[in-house]
Amino acid sequence: MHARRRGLVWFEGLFGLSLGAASVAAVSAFAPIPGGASVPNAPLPGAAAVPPTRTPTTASVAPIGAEYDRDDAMKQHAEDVVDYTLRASLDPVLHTVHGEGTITWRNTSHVAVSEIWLHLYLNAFKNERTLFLRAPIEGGRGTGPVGSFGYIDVRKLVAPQFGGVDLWKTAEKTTPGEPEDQTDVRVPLPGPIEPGGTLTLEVEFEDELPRVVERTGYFGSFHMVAQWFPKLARLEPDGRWAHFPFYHLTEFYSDYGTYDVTIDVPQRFVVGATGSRVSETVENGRKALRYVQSDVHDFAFTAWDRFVERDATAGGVAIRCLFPPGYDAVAEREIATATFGLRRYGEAYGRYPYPTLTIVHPPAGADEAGGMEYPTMITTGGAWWTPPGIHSIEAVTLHELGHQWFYGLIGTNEEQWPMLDEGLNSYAETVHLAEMLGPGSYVDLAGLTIGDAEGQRVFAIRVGHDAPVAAPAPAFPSGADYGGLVYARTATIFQTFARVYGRAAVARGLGRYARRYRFEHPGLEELVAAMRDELGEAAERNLRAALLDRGWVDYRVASATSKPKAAPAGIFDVDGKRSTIEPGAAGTGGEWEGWALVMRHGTLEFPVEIELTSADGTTEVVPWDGEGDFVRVPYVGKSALTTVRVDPAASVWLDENLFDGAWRAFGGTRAPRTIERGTYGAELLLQAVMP
Amino acid sequence: MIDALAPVSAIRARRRPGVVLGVYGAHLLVASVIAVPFAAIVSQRTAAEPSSDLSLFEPGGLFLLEILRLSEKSFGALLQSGLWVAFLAGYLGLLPLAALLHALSRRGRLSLPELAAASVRPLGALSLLLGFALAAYALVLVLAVTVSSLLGLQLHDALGDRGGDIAQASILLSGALFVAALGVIHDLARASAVVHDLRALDAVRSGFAAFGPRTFFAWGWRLLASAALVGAGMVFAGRIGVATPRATFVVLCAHQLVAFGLVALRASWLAAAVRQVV
Repeated sequence: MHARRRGLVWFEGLFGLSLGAASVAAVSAFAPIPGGASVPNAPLPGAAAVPPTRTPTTASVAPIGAEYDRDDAMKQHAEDVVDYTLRASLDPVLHTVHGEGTITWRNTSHVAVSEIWLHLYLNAFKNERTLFLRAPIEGGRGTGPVGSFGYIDVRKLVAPQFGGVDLWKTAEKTTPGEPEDQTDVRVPLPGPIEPGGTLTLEVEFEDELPRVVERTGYFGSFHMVAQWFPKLARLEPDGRWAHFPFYHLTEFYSDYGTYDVTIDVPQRFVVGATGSRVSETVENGRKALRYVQSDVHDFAFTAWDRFVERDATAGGVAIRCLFPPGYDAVAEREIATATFGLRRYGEAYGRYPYPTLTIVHPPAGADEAGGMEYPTMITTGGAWWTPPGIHSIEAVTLHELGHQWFYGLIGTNEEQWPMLDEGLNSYAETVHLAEMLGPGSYVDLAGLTIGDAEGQRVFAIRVGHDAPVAAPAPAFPSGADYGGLVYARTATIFQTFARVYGRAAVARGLGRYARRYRFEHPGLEELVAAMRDELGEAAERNLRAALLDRGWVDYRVASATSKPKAAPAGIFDVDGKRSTIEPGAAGTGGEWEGWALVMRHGTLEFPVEIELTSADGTTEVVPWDGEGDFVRVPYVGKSALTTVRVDPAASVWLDENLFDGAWRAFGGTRAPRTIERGTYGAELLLQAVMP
Repeated sequence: MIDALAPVSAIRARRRPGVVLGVYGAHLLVASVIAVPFAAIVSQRTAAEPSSDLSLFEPGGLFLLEILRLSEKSFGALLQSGLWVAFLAGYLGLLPLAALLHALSRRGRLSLPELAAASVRPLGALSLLLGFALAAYALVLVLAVTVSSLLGLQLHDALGDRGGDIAQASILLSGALFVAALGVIHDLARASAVVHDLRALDAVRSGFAAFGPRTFFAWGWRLLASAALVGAGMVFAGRIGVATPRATFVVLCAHQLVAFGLVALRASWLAAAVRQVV
């Protein structure tokens, strides 16, 4: 999901129109402790199952070899854990979906299990007492008034191997500890499923879609059908189910498998879906489209009778763009961005393995369906008239495309570690958007260029002290914090690392991580280990502090001075003789001497350069490893020290004040360019208001 | 007073360069009052920088966004006060306007005391005209926005997103054109009020009587010329940049030429308005 990518949202953040600071305290499963701390990963009250295991420390994570710089070392396919063979019939007038089919699940853990967990996330929109709808989150997606309610009713859940008993009758139909929420459901099994054993379920269900809210629903005859079927939670290798209810800030986590879904819609509807369309049959004014895709962990589809379709091919991938009439120019931009992205993301993080990519641009009014990722399908957004100099179209397209890697191919737990998908993906977005569009990667209008990464930094610094970056989604105090920390601060952390430790090294580390853990479910430690292997242990300490401990830093020049070098004055006893040297005695060849005191506040210790400039224009650059609270840099030169600048290349984007890292010997109050532009701007304004 | 009116052919802005320059000076003065506090806040942050405020103009906007973040509250407060200054200037600007209209309509040399007296004399009528005009603008714009909003859903349903947006924009544009026409009538009424020393209501009648397609065109081409001038200034400034003090000075000169050009074009239109009402 790209929660902040609707328009110039980080400008909103900049000027205080943030996503809201409401607490999520009412979400009892993740209630913050009074005083501000929270209980990430806390087990749900009454739940027999527990959240997934955090991965061990980097000590137990094997180094990723250089072979993962190449694609041929990557896994070609995912382990097939759960297969869904479903048929979905859409009634676009009643906005309902009738679903039925078979789910085949394999126990890939080391222990026998006697229960399964189903996610029925469409029930999040059932009434105003669900966890989702009663959560006091302001701003952002899913927080507007509910247009209409939606739900999923399971009609049948039969396990033939257990004598055809309907498991739904014995299911615990509410979320543990949340009797008013039905999104996280435990289903006891009549008998155990041994490791390696298989469970086959025959399912039948009815969906009533809500008016578009939080990624799914209808708007007029437009339908975005997501989180629409009973979906198994993922079973971790140690036998613990990674299950969780549907919640505002939480996305998804599941196992890989094959989806074989037949979508039955009125004949006039255009359908886009996960995977490749393998057949189409027409009968009685309706058509049945069969989509099949292996190596994915979700399935969504869209259907609308007004979609315009445009096709393209990029590197062997068939791109299909579905958009409302009149959005042709926007569609072209999205296809061009996807073409660029498939190539560059493929080079950086391993080739895109699927034959298709579907881009869906929802119509105006269905914006909450936009800016979302599904396997082989992404949704975008933006007005048809979005000026070419405003790159929100490219940004959202590249961001959602990036999720094909950071979410799709690297199947991290989005509830536990949202920064592993949204954060890394935001960093990748900033890097590749700048590659594509240059310094004005977000705005390039009338001579003003604003970069996507630069904009994200503002948001990142603003919320940097609110909560740790690497935390479970429900642990964030507000939507603004979630957006600022998970997306923007992760991107800014990696921007800083790239500038300080080298762009190539960071790119190599992320590339190896992405290839090594393709079709797997890595945690934070796998990422940290990958970066440590490339950047070293000092970088690892900084990364841990930045991600886990609200690490921050501010470099500043506290003071500096210089004076003509002179013989030391005073009374000296040398070899039994006393001599007196008066202050101001002859110096040593007209040299000047002095020092600059540079401080480092905060918990992050990045190496920086300190630039000292003399009155004669001479510049000296002194490196500082950044360790310790301060450094006093000696100065010797032919003339007076005039300016000192710490981090002159502005490498440390995590620096909380970029303007206090400078000192000037005879400072003025000069801002000539600002006063020129400001006056001219005011003159133009006055043309409009003065008669 | 009427005896001193200039012949129609002599009512030209170029005949009164001193007064035009004076109006430009007034604009520059007020603009400085608005801009200097902003620059002072910026200079507090950038004074120690080796390159002063050059970093604010770097591609990507890293430091520009940083100063907006760090000085957000100060800028917010200044923006409010700046808008008040602009609002006040909008009213007090009636004084140089009256002086300019008087100068354009009269023959011969004008003394400073005469101009000062001419700028104050019609203030009552011009104030009322300003009030009428603002109320009319607001009414038309509210009406256009309301109609556009009320029809929005139906237009989108019938015409799609693009067609609906274009239809809504057309409604708003129609409102803007109507406001522009009212603005032209407002200027004609102002010219009448000053030239003929009319009361507000009589001036309104005179303004409506003088309004026609030719008058609107006379105003319109100057508006387009103003936009082109601003665009040219933007392109020029973009090419020159601000990397050196010399470049900054050149851009300053170019921008001030544009600002003077805008005042001159406005004076040229007002001269045309005076010609319509004498």
